[in-house]
Amino acid sequence: MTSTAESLAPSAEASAAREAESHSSGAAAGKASGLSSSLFGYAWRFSAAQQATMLALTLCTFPIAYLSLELPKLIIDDAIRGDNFPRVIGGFELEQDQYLLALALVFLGLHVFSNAIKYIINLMRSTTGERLLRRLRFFLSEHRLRAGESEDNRFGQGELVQIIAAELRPIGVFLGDVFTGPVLHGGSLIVYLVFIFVQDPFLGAFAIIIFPIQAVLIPMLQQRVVRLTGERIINTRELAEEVSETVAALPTLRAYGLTRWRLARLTGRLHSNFEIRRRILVRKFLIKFVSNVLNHVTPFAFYAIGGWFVISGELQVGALVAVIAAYRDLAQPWRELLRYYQEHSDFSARYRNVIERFELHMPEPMRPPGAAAAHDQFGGEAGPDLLSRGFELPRPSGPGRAAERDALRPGPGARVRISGADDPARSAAIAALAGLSRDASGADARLAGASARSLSHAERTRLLPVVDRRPVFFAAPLRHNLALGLLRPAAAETGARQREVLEARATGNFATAPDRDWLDPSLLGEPDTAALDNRLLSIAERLGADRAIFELGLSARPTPETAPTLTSRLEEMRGALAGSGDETSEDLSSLIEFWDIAALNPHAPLVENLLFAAAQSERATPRSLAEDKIIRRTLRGTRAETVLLDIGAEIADATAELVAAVGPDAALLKAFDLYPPGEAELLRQAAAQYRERGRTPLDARKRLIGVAFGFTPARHRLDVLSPEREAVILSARGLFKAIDRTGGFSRFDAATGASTLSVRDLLLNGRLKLDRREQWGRVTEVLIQLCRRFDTEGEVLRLGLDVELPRMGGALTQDQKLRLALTRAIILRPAALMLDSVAGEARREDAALRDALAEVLEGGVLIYSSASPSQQMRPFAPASELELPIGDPPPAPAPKPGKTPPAAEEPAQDAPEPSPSGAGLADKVRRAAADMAGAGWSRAEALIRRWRLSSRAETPPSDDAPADPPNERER
Amino acid sequence: MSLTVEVEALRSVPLFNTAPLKTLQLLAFLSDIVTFRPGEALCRQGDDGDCAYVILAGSAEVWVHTPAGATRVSTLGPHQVVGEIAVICDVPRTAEVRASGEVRALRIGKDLMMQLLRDAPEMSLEIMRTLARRLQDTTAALSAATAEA
Repeated sequence: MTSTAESLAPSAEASAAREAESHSSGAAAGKASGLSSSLFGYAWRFSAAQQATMLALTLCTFPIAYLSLELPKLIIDDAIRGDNFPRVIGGFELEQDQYLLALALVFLGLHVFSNAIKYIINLMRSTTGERLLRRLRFFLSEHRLRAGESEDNRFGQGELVQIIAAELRPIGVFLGDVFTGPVLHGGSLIVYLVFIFVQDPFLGAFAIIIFPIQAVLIPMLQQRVVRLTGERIINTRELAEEVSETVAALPTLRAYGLTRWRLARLTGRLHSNFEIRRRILVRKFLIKFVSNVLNHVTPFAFYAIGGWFVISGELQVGALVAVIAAYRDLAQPWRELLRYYQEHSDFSARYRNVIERFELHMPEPMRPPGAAAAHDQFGGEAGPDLLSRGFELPRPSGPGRAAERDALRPGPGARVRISGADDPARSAAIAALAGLSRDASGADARLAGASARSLSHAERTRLLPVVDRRPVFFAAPLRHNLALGLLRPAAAETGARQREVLEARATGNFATAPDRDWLDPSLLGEPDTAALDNRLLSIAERLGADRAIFELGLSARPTPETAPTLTSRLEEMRGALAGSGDETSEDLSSLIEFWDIAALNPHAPLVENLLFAAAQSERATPRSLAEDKIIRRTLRGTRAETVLLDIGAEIADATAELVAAVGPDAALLKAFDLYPPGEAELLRQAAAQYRERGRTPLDARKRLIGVAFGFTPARHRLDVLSPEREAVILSARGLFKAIDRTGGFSRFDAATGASTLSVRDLLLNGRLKLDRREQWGRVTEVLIQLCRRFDTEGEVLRLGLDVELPRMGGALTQDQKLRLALTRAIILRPAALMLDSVAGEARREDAALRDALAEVLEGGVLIYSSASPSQQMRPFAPASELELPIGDPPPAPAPKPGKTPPAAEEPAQDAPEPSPSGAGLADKVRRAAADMAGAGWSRAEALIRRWRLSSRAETPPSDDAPADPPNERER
Repeated sequence: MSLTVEVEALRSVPLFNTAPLKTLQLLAFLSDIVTFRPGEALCRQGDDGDCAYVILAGSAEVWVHTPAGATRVSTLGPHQVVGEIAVICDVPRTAEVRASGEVRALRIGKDLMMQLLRDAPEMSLEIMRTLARRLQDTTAALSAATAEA
């Protein structure tokens, strides 16, 4: 392991190297990545070989195209109408019919051959286009990921998504065609024209004479139409405005008898609207007329003049037919060429736009393969050890004051409080200290001689991490989310031959080994994942994050491999939990609906109520269970099936209306879990089909039953489950008695360590009551105690680390996310942990968390920001804590000299009896607070405190009342 | 549909009464019914606000914990909304709300609430009005209080 101190030392060489590196990966990308400023340049750079091959193949098609024009002529003039048979060709003597057949076969062969070549070209140009597109998308994404923080706000998320996903797509298609397109279409055009000229120069001249006329006349007419369309849009807008003004002013119009005046104006508008429309129509159909006529002028010439040539014997019939065929074929390449021209100008502009938007035009040295990850390397000396080589915090800059170097030198284990009432200013100060801000005024911390700004991203995150109120969690196992710093690219070995890897290399993507675990515990010097888990869990426990992990573990499904003790001691644990009528179990029954074979559990979905079992696959959904063969076969023809269909149909009717009211795409429906909202209409139709009482199609039945299966009475609260229906479902449980023997299901009454229910299901033998969710924490508490008693807590926690978090951390609460994020920062052994408005206030909970952090930092410095005034913080902060105030020192409530500063945590009994007027004030404040019903309590609280302070200090409160004490701000 | 009680409750809350009936039905459907026993907390001061409640039945007391001790500041009854500002403004709960009897409430999750506001600008306006009114009330109470004392 190289010494981090060495890499942190301010040696010119090292920082120059770092500079170069950050440059190569940062904003200054471009040439090497192939983003030349023109579309042609880009395409050629990365697909020269393919483009050249396609060009060569395209050139091959031209002689074939010429031959395939020539052949019909030969067939008509020579084989059908010719004489001098038999002919000798290649040593064979052919009669007329044989000659005809031979030519026809050659004709067929030519077309097969030319289409085969086209097939190859099409495939090549599409894959080439896709590869070029993929490279471009990857490059832009990578560029975005690697750009410095200063770039973060340059793009809105939506804009980037739009550029990468949508705007680039047609460019990809075009890129494959960029060279081949014009050559193919232009070449074909020339081949057809040459052919016509060869048959007769006079006809050839006619064929091309129309092009210039078309090219000039039609755009001219088109332009008029475009202009008129513009006028029409304006006119329509004015019309709309006039109508809405009329509607708004109806009473006034009636009052003044202005109806006729208004109608007359409206008539005028409607007339000009009609007039514009009429002029558009005239031109539109004129264009159609002219272009149709022009298109037939040439065939007219071919028929008239060409026919005359045939009559006079100057031209063969076959040649004339071939010329007409060639002319008909001429139209397509001509259209394609025009389209190419339009697309080229469109996409070039779009491409240039992207390049400029991303500022990608600067040259950069070639990036070696795999270097994408080089500067992300973790490892090195532990943060707390580095502190002894010097740690300096500048005094933060404030209004009218620059940052001062060397203001503070906190030693190992020190605590620093950035205090100030201004939230953004405190955040800015933290960002500056951590070297994250653009501000280069020297406001960053200096660790072992290196300034925070000069550290690489990875070093900064490891040594000087910042935790703010919005920690990010990814859709990945919790363990990975907690060890983000240890996720290091497992690049594919060179020589790996998988298709995926090869394609990635071919398009400048990052070639990773699929299915490789990126977690590398050795970066922390841990031998394996188990050791890493221990470390994670011990930190999490100190920080109070273990509860969240435990709760996740409760939802995991244990196996004898992942949780041997738990699965083997399950019976004992359940027995202990059930207890016999002690206080705990009584308490639990108000929070848990236990499984009872004779009763419906309203807190579980109908499918589980019906089967009295849960599906083993975590992927099983009510819908997929409705398609399950065994379930369908068992249900077929039973009363339970009818009941389920009835329920499904009623739910469909009741909810389809709700979904339709907001539209199936409404974001509001994210929480709608009965079925995908997009299927509401289909479901309603299925319900209608079912009601018609004919034979309901199988698909409709599955749909309805799927919805009924997902229905959870206590959650969905639709009036669809009458006592009769409930009884039918309960009696149908008998049908599924052996469902667990078919595999794929675990019965609730036979749950053993071998079944695949979640830990919570296994231990509780019931479901948490949905309406008691705010008290679920008490159940967790009981389960933690239970697992401790049976020595299985560690297993559940480990299961929790395995759990795949949903996007954005799913159901984790804000507090849980924060504690997990703190664990994530601490595990990397930082030199200083910086908290941005996290756990910073004068509250017991915050103080406890700070103490816990100071402990797990193992000598690292704790830097936190606080809005609480210093005197309030006093009881919550150790005396040795350093303070870095931001801005002007907060105005103290000016106690009289000699008096002890009025402490905020003053015990209630010390407060003087409120005077009559004081009581009135307190009442008023309380009344105002009551009106606020939830908001601004802190303001009310501050008022009460102020009143107490001022009445103690015996200063007239009106003196300082107008001033806004810092703790009174809306937080 | 058995959502009538919930929808009626939502309709009588000023924050929601501008929303169309169907939206309210959907809101009621997508929210959970929660129950509290006497003494159980709907929310605790200092906790993160991840939901708002509309009380359907029962009553709850609002307590503010100050360094000087806990003070009961008001009592909430049916059709009153609890904790919506903490959800919208992303601030910790500023008071504790405890059930004084059996309480049944509609629990509107944070995501749902925010989505609703995004979809219905008139609701955002109502929130603004509420906040402005409360600020005005507080200011008025403050100046009255300082004048009196």
